[in-house]
Amino acid sequence: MSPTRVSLRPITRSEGAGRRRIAEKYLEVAEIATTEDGAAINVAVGIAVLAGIAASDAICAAALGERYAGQDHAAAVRVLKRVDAQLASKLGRLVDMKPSSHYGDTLLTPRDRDRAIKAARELVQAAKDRI
Amino acid sequence: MDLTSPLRTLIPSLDSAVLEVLAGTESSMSLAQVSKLAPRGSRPGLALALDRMVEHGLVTATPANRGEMYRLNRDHILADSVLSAARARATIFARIGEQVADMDQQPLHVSVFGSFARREAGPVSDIDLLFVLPDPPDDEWFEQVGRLGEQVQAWTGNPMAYLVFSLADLAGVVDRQEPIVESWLADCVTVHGPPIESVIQDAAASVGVSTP
Repeated sequence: MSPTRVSLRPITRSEGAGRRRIAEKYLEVAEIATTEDGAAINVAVGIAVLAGIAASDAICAAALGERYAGQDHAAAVRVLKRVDAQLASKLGRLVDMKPSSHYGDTLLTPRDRDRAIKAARELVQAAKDRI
Repeated sequence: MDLTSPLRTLIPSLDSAVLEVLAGTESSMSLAQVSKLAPRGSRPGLALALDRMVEHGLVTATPANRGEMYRLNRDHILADSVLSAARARATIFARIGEQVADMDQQPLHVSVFGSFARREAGPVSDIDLLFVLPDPPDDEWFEQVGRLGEQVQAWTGNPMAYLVFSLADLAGVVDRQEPIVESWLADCVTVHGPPIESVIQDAAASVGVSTP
């Protein structure tokens, strides 16, 4: 459901592969950050969100030849939904965690972090399967 | 949309500022009173807007000692539309409450907090929701929240952001004295379940921490 306009940018397959490699690297760093609790949970979740967004760009590059061009993560979810509703739902749940890191340093739990890493892994794997 | 001034979405001119004031009361008001309560507009501008609406019959003007007394004509064919638009904020909150009541894994408490709760939100602000559940929710529950977010965006044009806590996690947040707790206590609007004060007290009591 998209009552607002979504701006898209063309992306080549090789640029898409570049976004996939970035996504893998973000995920690797997010996983390293899981060794610590407290405020580090925000860091791990934040990087997992970046991994998910980059993976989504790669998936959209492979399927549509274009990707979302703005800063609104919710709009990125709507673009991914054009490719795969289930993956969009995973990305949606991932980006929905961002407000928790904006509103406080310790609002996210280790359980939230594990959910974020799991969703990011699934999105990165989907990107690797496609591009 | 701007849920602080919902009529402005339909009527961008000053007329909506006048209508918002008159929709809030069944009594008559002087121009001075309208001017004092209107969220925007100069007194001469508001007077012109009132004149326009009197001409169309949507507002009645009754002569008084000093000038005219204005009142929304609730018998006018458009009055229901005006009142419905003016109540949009309350209607959205009620709809969210209805949707939440139908969820599996019922939350103990849901409230709107942040700029919408404080009536400071703009047309593209997030609608922030706080969910408190008895236990940590599963993936299926988050799917339901995702669908609620899509509905909220369709109803208003505004994205929905949310925070989710189990009762035990909420107790931890209170114990760590996260600043957001004060913000919830100051201005959140409950749309489901008991008020946040009670929920925080219950959460704190369940793990033996003190409340703010």
